[in-house]
Amino acid sequence: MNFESAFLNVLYFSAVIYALAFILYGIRAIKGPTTADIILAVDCLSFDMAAFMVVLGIYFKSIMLASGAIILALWAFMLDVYYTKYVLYGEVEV
Amino acid sequence: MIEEVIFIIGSIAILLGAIYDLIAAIGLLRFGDFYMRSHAATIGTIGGAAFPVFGAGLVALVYHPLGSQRFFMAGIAFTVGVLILLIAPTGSHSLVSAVYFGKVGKKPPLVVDQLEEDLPRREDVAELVREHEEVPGEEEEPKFSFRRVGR
Amino acid sequence: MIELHLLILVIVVSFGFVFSYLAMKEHDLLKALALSSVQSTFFALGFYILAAPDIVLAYLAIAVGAYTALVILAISKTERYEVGE
Repeated sequence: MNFESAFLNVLYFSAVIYALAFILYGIRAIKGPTTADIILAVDCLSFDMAAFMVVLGIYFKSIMLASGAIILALWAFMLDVYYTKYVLYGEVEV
Repeated sequence: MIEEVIFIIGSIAILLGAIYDLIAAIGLLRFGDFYMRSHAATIGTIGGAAFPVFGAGLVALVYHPLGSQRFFMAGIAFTVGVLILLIAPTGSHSLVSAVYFGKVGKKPPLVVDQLEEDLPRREDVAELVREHEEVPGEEEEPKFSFRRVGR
Repeated sequence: MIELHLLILVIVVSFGFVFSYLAMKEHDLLKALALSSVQSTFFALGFYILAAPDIVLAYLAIAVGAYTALVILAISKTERYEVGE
């Protein structure tokens, strides 16, 4: 069993589906009536983008590329906390 | 033999995670109000992000064209998976609580809202704030605010 | 097969362009900030596909983290809605 060609097929199907999902999340972020919908869409978008970065890092054969996924998942969480502190308490202590 | 089994399990996890992701995206686009959309976002973060990341870690563990770097790649993948498992429910809960208590947007038509019955009433909050702050000259009724109750 | 990630790059960069235009035309500053964070998330994947991991590390920490924190601090000290022409 050749691992490289088998992984290429897996990446081909999953990348098409991930690209479709990114487009749909983007449409929700454009349409979103309130700010919370946009924050929710960017939350899902960043976590799925981190997963896609790890899968794509195996395809590019580079571990420097895959380390961006940790940073993306952690900073996108801070956006939720900032928005919650602004809405509930009215002020943000950075 | 055991490497092929691990590779197939990881590949199935990646493909299934991608399909979960598409389902969550369609649900996020089609649902009516914010709370149902947050239900779709739960599927998108756990089933669509944490599950394929663990699958990619299993694939990277046996992927020989990567050389001796494959253990580093598997470590990064498992770290990202554990971080997403910790972070995504916390973020979703904080966002939904901000929308509910901050009264953002329009409230959906509910049959019964049991959280609203458990909340402290307006007179109780006013009495609590009055005995906490001890300002006798203030006549006006204090507004319902989380910051003034908490501190 | 070799053009697949280039197709994803085209999609990501065009979505980033659309979101930067929407953030520019918005009068609610908090909503404009959320749209700007969507744009920076899309551009991070663009830099990733262009094989620049150092720029990804710096751009995420600045455009998603520090920029949103500073602008939310500025909004909470001043006003949320932009009034006038």
